[in-house]
Amino acid sequence: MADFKATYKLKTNPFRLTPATNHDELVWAGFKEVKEKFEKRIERSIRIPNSTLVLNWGEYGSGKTHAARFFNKKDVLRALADKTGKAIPYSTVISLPKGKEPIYSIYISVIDKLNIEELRNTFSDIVGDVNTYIDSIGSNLHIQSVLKAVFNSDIQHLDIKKYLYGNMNATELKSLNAAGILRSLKDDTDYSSILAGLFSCLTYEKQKYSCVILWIDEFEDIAVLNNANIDKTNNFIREILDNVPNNFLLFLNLTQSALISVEDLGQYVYESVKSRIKERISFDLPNPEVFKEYLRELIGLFREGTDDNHYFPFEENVIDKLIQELGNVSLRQFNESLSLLLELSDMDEKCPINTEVFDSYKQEIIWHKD
Amino acid sequence: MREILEYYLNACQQAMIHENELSFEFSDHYLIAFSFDTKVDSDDENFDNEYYSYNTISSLSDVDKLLGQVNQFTSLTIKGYEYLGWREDLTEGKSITNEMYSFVKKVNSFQKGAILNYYTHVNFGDAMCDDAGSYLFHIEIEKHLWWNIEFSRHIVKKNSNTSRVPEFYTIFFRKNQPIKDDKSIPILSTNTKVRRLGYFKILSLFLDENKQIPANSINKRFETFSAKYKGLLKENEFNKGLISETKNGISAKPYIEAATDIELLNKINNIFYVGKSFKVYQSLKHEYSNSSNIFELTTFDKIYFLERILKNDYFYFSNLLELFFVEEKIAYSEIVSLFQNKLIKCLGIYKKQNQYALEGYKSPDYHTDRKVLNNIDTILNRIKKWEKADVYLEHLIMPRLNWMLDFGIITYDSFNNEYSITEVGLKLFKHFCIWDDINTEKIISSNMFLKRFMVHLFDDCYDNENIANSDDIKLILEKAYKYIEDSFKLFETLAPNRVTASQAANYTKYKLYFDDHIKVGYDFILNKLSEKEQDKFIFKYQEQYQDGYIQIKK
Repeated sequence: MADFKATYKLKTNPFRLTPATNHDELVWAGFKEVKEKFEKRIERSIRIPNSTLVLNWGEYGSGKTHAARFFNKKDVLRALADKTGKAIPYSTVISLPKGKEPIYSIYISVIDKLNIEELRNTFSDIVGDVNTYIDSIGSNLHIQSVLKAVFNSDIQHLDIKKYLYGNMNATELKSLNAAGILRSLKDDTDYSSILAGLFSCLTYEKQKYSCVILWIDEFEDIAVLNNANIDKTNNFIREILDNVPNNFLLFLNLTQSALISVEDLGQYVYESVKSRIKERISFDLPNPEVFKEYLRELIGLFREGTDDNHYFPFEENVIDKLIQELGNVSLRQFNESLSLLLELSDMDEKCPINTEVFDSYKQEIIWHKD
Repeated sequence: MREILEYYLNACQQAMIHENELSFEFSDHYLIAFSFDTKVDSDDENFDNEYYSYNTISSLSDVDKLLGQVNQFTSLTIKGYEYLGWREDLTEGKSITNEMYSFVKKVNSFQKGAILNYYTHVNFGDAMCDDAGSYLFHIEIEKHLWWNIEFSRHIVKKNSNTSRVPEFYTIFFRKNQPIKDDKSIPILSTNTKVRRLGYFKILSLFLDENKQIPANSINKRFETFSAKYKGLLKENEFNKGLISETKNGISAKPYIEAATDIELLNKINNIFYVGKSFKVYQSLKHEYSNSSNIFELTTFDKIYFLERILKNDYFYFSNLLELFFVEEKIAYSEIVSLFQNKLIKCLGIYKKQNQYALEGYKSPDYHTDRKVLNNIDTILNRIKKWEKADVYLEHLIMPRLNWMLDFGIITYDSFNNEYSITEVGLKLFKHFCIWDDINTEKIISSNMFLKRFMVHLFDDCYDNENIANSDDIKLILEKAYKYIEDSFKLFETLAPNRVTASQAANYTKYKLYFDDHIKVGYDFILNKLSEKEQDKFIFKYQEQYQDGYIQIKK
């Protein structure tokens, strides 16, 4: 691979089979419409107070997870916030938990990502206002005390984290008694109340964070949960939307799939949740023009040096041929084929990749299901 | 004995001896065959191998020569055959199974109980030869009729009703490849109360008003809802199966259970919703399901519910229909006495043909595995062990008899207390036979056949107009695509720009049939959607769900 960069004029192989986790590699190419939809949605939540539920639909490998990770990037969110002159959103991506206690798992995923030290620093100048605000939300004194303790620098940040995880024993808990915390957190109501309160505090007056964005990926797995957990998950979503009336944006990623006895996943989502859906964003399978635009931009982002051919090292007719051969497939399948084609060409030192090269690898890079 | 053989010899086209069998061949490829033991054992060096391996019998003296060497006759079988190597070139399908049944009826009309056994099978002849094989039927006759001259005359008499195989099957015969049979036995368990299909029509009205119904209250609520139709049931030609009002909904319960089993209802998390397929019925019932009495089925009701039942209950339903086909007229008590054995026999055939497949007896296309056999065994053992079979059989037979009455497949003569099969029933059974013949074995699951032939079959059974489809495939597709587009509005789901493939295709299938008199199969529509030239829609099929979804290309 020593001269990969020089030969192919690419920093690295741009075709990923799974979404990147490394922030620098998380780039957005093409698919302007979808991107704009997300930007608008997030901008709106940055600007206006109302809480919103958005469903994202798409085939396996159509880019839903990628979108979640991309729009979870600080610099992307910062740019959107700057446009409006407001604070940056607080954003988190989690997968729908499949275990026995889905609400506890969601709660833990959020707490895992919560940096209390940093939070206290950020909020140090308005902690008094936040405390007053906490007194105004709900009537549950216990939850109020816990929320205050999160922002209270007098309490060790590791102690409160330990408490939030539910790892404090009775003796340790005594140290928090003075803060009004007299019992442990124990059921789903506690967990969702803490999350709701926390989200409300984070976005207090849109001062430090303009909104909270929560992405629940793989939401289609709700179909494999048992009845009780389908219930719990639906109730959680309803409660959190009810209890965080402002500055909350919830994205649910769903795979476009057929199911045995129902038309689609809609039947697993209760009316109470459905009625709160504000928008449905669809990740359609790319048509040839959309795909080629994506490809030009993607290669551009990875380009080392310059080339007149925007598709280099591929010849354009190779791309056309590939699109024709693959038919209606997801972006992931396109990426998969191009990635293989590039790797194989590199191994055999073939460049540029013309139709002759393509034909010689065709069998290996294109496989049809069924 | 000699007289009988002489009679056959004079009546037949040719007679021969082949491997301990004396057979007389008649026109239309059927044979009357006697097997026999010779006085000289075949291992004996005096055994005339050449004589027995193949020899024509052309005169009475040949018969006498044979009789001199025969120790005893061991069986009499009526056989018919089709050489599978000819299938590729045929212009019309040949239905061995239908021919078998017409002989079975013929024998029965001479004397009931004269048949020991009947079945079809494939014979590949010598394993060393690359032979396409022959597909045969066998009817084994009781010994006491072997030498009865009246019987001989009766069975040799020319068959008048050789049934024609409808043209739409021809291509499948020509392919000479089985249609995929997933070999899971479709069985509905029913309660004797579920007798009126009209209650499913009422259920659809009930679901118009109630989109989601908690499991613990659906029975009671459906009972209350159905109360107003009590008078109409009384007035209807068939009036059994009343849902009466009870404290706890016990009267509606069997109907709700049956509706769930035939996928009209779907239960998620203890809430009932309209089933995937029933939504299509819901969307079309205003156009096609109006009858003066709700318990009377319209043509649309019939095609819809018949498909649901054949899909989910082919095993019981087809076996019951076979009884009617063979007996023509039969009393309830007689059905009860015959049915258990009928089912056991059928499962025996399933088992046998799949054991062969497992031993590589058939071509590799006949995929099978242990699981299929185990499943057959489980059901076989269960049925063999039925205690108080007559009580159990009431729950099984009564609903199906009544459904058949609703469908017009049978009629009931209350004076003689007898059920008789109608023209519709006769035709329907013939289609089942043809399905077996396409696969050259008794089919177990009807699913893939219904997906291809349901509309054609229905049109043939119920509507004798026999409308021929236009040759203009473009026109058919244009209409089909229009209906698929319409289905996006009718079956909207939570996901944007998406419709479930089975709903769109079934809707299209019904619309084409009822509005445009075009007969297409469900599979035809999906196949057309899959073609590369098709550029209106994106169609994704997911094998594991036996369904898929369609999106409009933007």
